[in-house]
Amino acid sequence: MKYKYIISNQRPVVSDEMGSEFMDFASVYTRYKTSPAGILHSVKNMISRWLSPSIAIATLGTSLYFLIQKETEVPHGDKPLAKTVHSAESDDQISSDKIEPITDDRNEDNDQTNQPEQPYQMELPGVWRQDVSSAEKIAKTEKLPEKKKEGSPDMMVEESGYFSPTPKDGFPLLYKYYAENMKYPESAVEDSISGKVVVMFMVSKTGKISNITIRQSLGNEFDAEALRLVHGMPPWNPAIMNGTPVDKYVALPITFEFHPSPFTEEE
Amino acid sequence: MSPTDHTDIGEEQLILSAQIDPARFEPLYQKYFRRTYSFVLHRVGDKETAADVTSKVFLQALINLKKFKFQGLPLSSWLFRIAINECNGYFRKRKAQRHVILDDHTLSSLFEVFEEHDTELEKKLRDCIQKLDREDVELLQLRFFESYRFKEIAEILDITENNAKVKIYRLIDKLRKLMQS
Repeated sequence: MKYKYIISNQRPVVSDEMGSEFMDFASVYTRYKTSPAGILHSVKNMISRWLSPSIAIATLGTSLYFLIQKETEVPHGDKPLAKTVHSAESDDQISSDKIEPITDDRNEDNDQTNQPEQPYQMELPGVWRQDVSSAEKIAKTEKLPEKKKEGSPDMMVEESGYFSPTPKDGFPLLYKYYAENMKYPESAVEDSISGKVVVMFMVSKTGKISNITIRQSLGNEFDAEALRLVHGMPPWNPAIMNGTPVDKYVALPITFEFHPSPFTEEE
Repeated sequence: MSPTDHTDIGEEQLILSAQIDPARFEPLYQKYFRRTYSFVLHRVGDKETAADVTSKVFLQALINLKKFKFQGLPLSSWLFRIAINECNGYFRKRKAQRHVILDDHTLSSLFEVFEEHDTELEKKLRDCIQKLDREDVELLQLRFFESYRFKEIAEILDITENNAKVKIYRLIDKLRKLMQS
């Protein structure tokens, strides 16, 4: 009978020497190196070791290149500062050298503005110049600074930005008006309702109040009272966006509080 | 070759660094070579062949090291899984006979299970093992000859721990029936 398994009753002993006799990491490693997996690994290693740093350097280089380009392109606002030191000729060279590769019409622009640039710089106070560099980044035209030049610097600072509409007499007086004119609806006295009506309305460019709507209601009587108050309130200043008045919606909460009159208290 | 050794914290670091650079696998190779070699030798029975198969095991380990995920068990379980596959490959290729070692240690642990001890049983066992298929013999070796825990057997055979338990209890039942017949 042929046996399937060889059954022995002795466990082969692996001595230390026998273990180290066959131990050979170098040969295993060289076999691994020449196997497809090993080759793939070393190729991947090469890529991660050489390609990714070179990509990083390339990206850095390109971004630096564009950064430098942008710097030569943008600082028209700063250039006049340098001009006071350099002679007119050397500056001409610099500007034409650096601006040449961009576009033809830019070049023309540059030529046109070259001469008036000098006096225009003299008039400029520090605050304005900061404005120009940021404005130029957005508009990238030379017309904007020229237009701005006419206004006084203080006006410029005031005009930029947004201001929301305000009551002409200020908010404290507006609230005083509400407090004085508010009539607590008589029908609600019994229920002693307190709460808030939010009224929304538009303050137009001219400061006129229109489109009055109720955003948050507290019953018909209260809504009617709130509308009456808003209709009769003192005039408002319009909202101002970059120096020009604009239409703007305002939401205003009007709080109704039930204060029992001395008469009812006695009862 | 005690199966109860504890995985030291350094092993995970060694594996991770070897995954990045296979040349750093050497300390792990030195640590596990003898145990893997013995594992293979017990199945193959020949020293030279065992050395040959063991080097193949480590080659496969290097190739597949990226796929290895450290789960708290020593690397040996994973190496033994590869070793079993390599041994199977060897037996298939050479049409060689498998070696099963039925030494005193294995016999005593089997006697414990069957709760009897006589020389007749040993003889019966030898005959019964011949009737088992490859997978059962594998389990028998892992559990009773090499005394691995169920968790490690599960890891080596790439099955769940519960499945390993079920398989071994079924194997014992099978052996008992074979011996009674």
